[in-house]
Amino acid sequence: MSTQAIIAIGVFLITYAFIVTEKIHRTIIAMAGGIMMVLLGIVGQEEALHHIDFNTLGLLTGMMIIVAITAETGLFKYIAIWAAKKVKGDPLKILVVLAIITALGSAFLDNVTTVLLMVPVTFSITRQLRVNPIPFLITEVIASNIGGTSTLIGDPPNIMLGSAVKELTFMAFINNLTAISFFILFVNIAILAFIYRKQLRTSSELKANLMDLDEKEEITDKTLLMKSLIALTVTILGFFLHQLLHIESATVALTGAFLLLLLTGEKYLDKAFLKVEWTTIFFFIGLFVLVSGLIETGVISLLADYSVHLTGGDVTSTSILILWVSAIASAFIDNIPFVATMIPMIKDMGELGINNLEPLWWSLSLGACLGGNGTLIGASANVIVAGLAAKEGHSITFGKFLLVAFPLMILSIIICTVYIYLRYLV
Amino acid sequence: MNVEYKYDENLLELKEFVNGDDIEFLITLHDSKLKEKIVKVREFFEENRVLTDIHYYIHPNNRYQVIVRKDYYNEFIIQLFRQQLVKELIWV
Repeated sequence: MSTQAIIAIGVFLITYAFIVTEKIHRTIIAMAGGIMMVLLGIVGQEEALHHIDFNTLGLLTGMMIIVAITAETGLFKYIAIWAAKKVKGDPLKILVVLAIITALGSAFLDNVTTVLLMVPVTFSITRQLRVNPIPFLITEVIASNIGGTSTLIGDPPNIMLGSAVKELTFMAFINNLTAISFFILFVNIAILAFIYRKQLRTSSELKANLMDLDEKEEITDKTLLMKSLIALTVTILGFFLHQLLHIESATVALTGAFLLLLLTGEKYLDKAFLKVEWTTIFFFIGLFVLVSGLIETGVISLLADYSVHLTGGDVTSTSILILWVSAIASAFIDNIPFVATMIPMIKDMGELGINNLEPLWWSLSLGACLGGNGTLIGASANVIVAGLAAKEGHSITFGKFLLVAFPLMILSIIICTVYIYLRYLV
Repeated sequence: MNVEYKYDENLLELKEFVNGDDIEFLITLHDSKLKEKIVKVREFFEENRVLTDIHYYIHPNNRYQVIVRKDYYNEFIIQLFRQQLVKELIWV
């Protein structure tokens, strides 16, 4: 191994350690790690820029702009109250419908954005019914991570995979992951509803009060809502057709975003750009450069070589290994840097003789996305919801979450193991 | 210190009672033009990033139910005053 490779590994491990400990903001650390790779001459500036995946960044930015403007319309509050009324204000059924709405939202929007939209309305509904909001919040977090698994645009690992591998189109994700994700979602919701059933009781008077709510009044700007719905429809349609139209997913998202800005005018420009999570965008940039150091020095190839050696190049054992390692790792560390490291490694495995990479990609996606449900620090949505809940006096402790979520995550991965095996390996 | 308030009964009706640890207000607007003002009160609390300071529920016929956390009681009344939904405020 060359000196350059040893330095690259050193920079990578130090950066990773800082990201895991969360002592300094992950964006600062990832950018510092990426810059170190360039400063130490591991990768040149041009090479570093070449490794930044602008498709991932464009897709994230476009969707963030669309959501920022759509959220102003009150649409998400309308949907939540409408659904709560549809189930006659019954808390147990509300838990189920809010989880399904969260999962559907997360399938098309960023998980963090979805939970940020769902948490306020959850507090509002649970306060009206005088029930504990924690079962609802935990269920929504879990639903959000599962829903995000189901599409190319639902979760950053999938966005990165779709961007890195040409064959993994929006429709490929729908065909391969949506059904299994929603099966896992219903299993998880059923178990959570059973666990929390005794806490989800309220009086008929409070139910009647909820039934009297006028959800239509939650729509604050009907014209803006129409424009947002047009842009959202165009965008989602674009995702379904992007392979056919030979355009990248980032182009679709940015078209939707700027179509919406064109329809709404300058008024929303500043507001929308302020709501783009630039910290996330720069976190990705730092990671892409950081991992490029490992790619350019041949470390990733070595790791791939070792993994193939370990599994004897057998697709079945390699897939199952990737699925479980991804899940366990993602339960404790950020799945974005993990996937950023795994993508070039799996590509190298293809060059080392594994012909069928498809099960490996789906294993990585399912493991990395669903693994985030294992612990409170496993995914950004978990951390955000726990933080918001604690601020409002409803603490979701690491242990409390682990006790419920970790067994559910293991069950989800067992289901995935059976799915991967039966669908791709038999 | 707490605040006491007076409002114009021709414009609205304001009832206040205890709801668990919080205070609940039932506001009925007699004039639809005042809707804009109550929306502004809501927006004020939505911008402060505290999710449980007030819970705001819209019922049909210009009826609003607002559950206010005790530590935000004064602020809520002050915002009603700011929007001229309350016409007199006295610190007691």
